Amino acid sequence: MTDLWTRVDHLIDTLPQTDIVGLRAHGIQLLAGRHWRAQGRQIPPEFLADERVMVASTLTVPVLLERIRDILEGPIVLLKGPEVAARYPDPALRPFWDLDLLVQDAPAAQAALLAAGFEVVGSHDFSHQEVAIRWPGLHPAIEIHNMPNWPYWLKPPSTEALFAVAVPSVMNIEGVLTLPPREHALLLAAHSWHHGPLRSLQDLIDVAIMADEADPADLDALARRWGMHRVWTLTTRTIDIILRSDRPSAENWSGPYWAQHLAVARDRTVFQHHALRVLGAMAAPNPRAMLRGFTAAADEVLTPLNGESWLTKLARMRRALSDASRPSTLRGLRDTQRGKRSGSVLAETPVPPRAVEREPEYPGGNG
Amino acid sequence: MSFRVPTHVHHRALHDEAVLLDARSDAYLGLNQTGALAWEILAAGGSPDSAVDALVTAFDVDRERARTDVAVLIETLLARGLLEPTRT
Repeated sequence: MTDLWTRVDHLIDTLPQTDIVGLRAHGIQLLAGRHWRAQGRQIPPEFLADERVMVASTLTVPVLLERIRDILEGPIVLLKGPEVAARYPDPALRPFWDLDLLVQDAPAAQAALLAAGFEVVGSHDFSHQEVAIRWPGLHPAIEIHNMPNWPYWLKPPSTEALFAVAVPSVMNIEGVLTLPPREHALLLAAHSWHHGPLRSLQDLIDVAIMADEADPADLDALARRWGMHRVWTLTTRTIDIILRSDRPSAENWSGPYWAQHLAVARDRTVFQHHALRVLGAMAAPNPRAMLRGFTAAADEVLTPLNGESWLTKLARMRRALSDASRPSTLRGLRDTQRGKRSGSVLAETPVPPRAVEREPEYPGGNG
Repeated sequence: MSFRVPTHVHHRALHDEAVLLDARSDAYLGLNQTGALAWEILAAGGSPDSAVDALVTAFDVDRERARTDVAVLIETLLARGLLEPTRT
């Protein structure tokens, strides 16, 4: 079988290089930058800035995790981000803008971290986990979870069950655990369906890497036990199509509508984003769960979120309608700049590290 | 004379640059191409003269200017606690 990274490079070769927003929305801009650099091509300045941020993050994550471990009592399970990044050719090639930490008592953990000096990111948050926090000046942000993000129409495995199978994290920090590859692969797949079917190419790559370390039959069996067999089957089929060397191009794409954005690494529009949040429930395990999923997703799209007033919600809906054909991550960025939301993928990008001094610049560098 | 990187300083190369994190002050710092080359040698325990040699070899710069620049860089890094002298 062709190496995954060779297949990813091949995929990048088929994508439009000018769609910087699309490549960033799919989280593959740094892989693209690596591949283009190897081919002697120019790297967009946006990608260079992301590279600096991610290199800074790889330095920061162990420091942050040690601080958090020293503040919190009880085990911490690190999900996604750095755990997956460690399996990339270089951990700095996999963008992540927050650390997802699963703990047994999220409100208490959040309170302890805030008391120790962490600060809330943004002025308001509509998400379903604790509000994102950060250590002043350091990237990435931290999200504390009581349970993993899961599609509305599926019941997530219990936190106790996840803690029971947790293993030491690749970060090699005492007290910081993670999930074994089998559970992690399923969690990554479930997360990718949380806000609609298969959010990004990065999600597909992440699932593929993690699944490679588990037995396919075991994965299949656990997916059935967790009631997410349909999600898992659709995810692995899509991985096979998208990361296949003879995959169909955008022009002759005959796959499902909901996976079209993956074929061309295009950001979903605001309309598609909202519509697919509702339609994602098509992968629910039975008609009753499907109906429950449609209803819950429609409710979230159409009614105010945590602590949000109807006035704010209506204003957001009006903006969504006027931005219906715009890329959804760009709209998220605009909202974040207005202080309306936190945790948006693009908006959490901090300023790249500043220079220690103005070091001398000489001509003729061969580096 | 040689130096070492204190335990509170985390660093790694980024192509021809370098990124440093000072975990004591929680500050990120970047070094450009010339600074990164000198840093790489100093952080590995190399002498200032080795850093000067590397700069002269890699760039179109005369030895005297490279010597002055390396000295200024070392002074800055020492003052910020990003590098410390090793006992010999």
